Amino acid sequence: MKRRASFLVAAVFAFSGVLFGTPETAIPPPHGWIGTTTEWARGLGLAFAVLNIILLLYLWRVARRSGLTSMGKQLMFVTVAVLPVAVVFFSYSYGMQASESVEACGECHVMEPWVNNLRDPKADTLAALHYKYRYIQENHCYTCHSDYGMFGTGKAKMEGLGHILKNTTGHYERPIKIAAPYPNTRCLYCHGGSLKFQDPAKHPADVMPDLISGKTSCLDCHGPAHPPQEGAGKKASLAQGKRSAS
Amino acid sequence: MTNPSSEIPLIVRLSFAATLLGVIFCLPLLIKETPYTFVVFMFLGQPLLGIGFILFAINVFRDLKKTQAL
Repeated sequence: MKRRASFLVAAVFAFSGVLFGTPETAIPPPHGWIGTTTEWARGLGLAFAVLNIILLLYLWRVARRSGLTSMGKQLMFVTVAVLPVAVVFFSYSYGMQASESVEACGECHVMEPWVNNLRDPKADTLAALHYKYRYIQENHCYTCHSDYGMFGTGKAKMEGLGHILKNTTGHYERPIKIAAPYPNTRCLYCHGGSLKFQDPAKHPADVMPDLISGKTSCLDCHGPAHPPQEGAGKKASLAQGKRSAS
Repeated sequence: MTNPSSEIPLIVRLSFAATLLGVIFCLPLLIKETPYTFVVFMFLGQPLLGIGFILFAINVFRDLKKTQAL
């Protein structure tokens, strides 16, 4: 029994990041490390998906030989109704987490200049500083470009789907631009409570209301967040098609 | 003598196919998450799994009606 359990854990790990993932840093994990929730979701999702496919093929083979027996119907319930629920659950669980990574944002060719600047150790844009000094520990693009609170994640995911759609169909305008002015609340969620922010020498009392209300943007003094784009101010060529993006 | 495979109702065969395709469309996302694999999962994998389940449920409902259990 113990051997079976060890085999199961080993199989899940084999399916998870161990085989397919590449560690971002060479820092060894702490003692007793058994992986992240995301890695487990991926491993379990893969294990259930493979099991589902094997059972479906087996059931189809048996049903072709001797028809759909009572036992076959029960097995079909498992393969059509139970296992797919597990596959979808773990796929969502993994997909939602993984889509927040910098790698996921960089998958779209149009985002490469931003991601390259973010990772450039010599760059001094606000985004690059947050990345290299790990002011934000992970999911750097997502953390700054999603709202906080209960609906922030849902809104960001819906917008993300829109971005994917626009990228796939090529319906975006170059240079791409942010859909709405960047709200100060996203900066203040982390910095708002810090002594540095509240220091009157850095942010005088008469400026504070405007900063908190968003009348004055943090980026007015602390920007630019990203490097200026090439061809900014020019319309996309007709060869590229008329494209618009947020 | 009848071929056992011909006894499998069409609706069950379709349910099999939809579920199999649905799971196959979920696999790329689990292997490597990219915006494209996520879209394939969202817009192809999930609906196919849903269709597979609905077809199976219709077949169960029909069976129960046939045996006058409902």
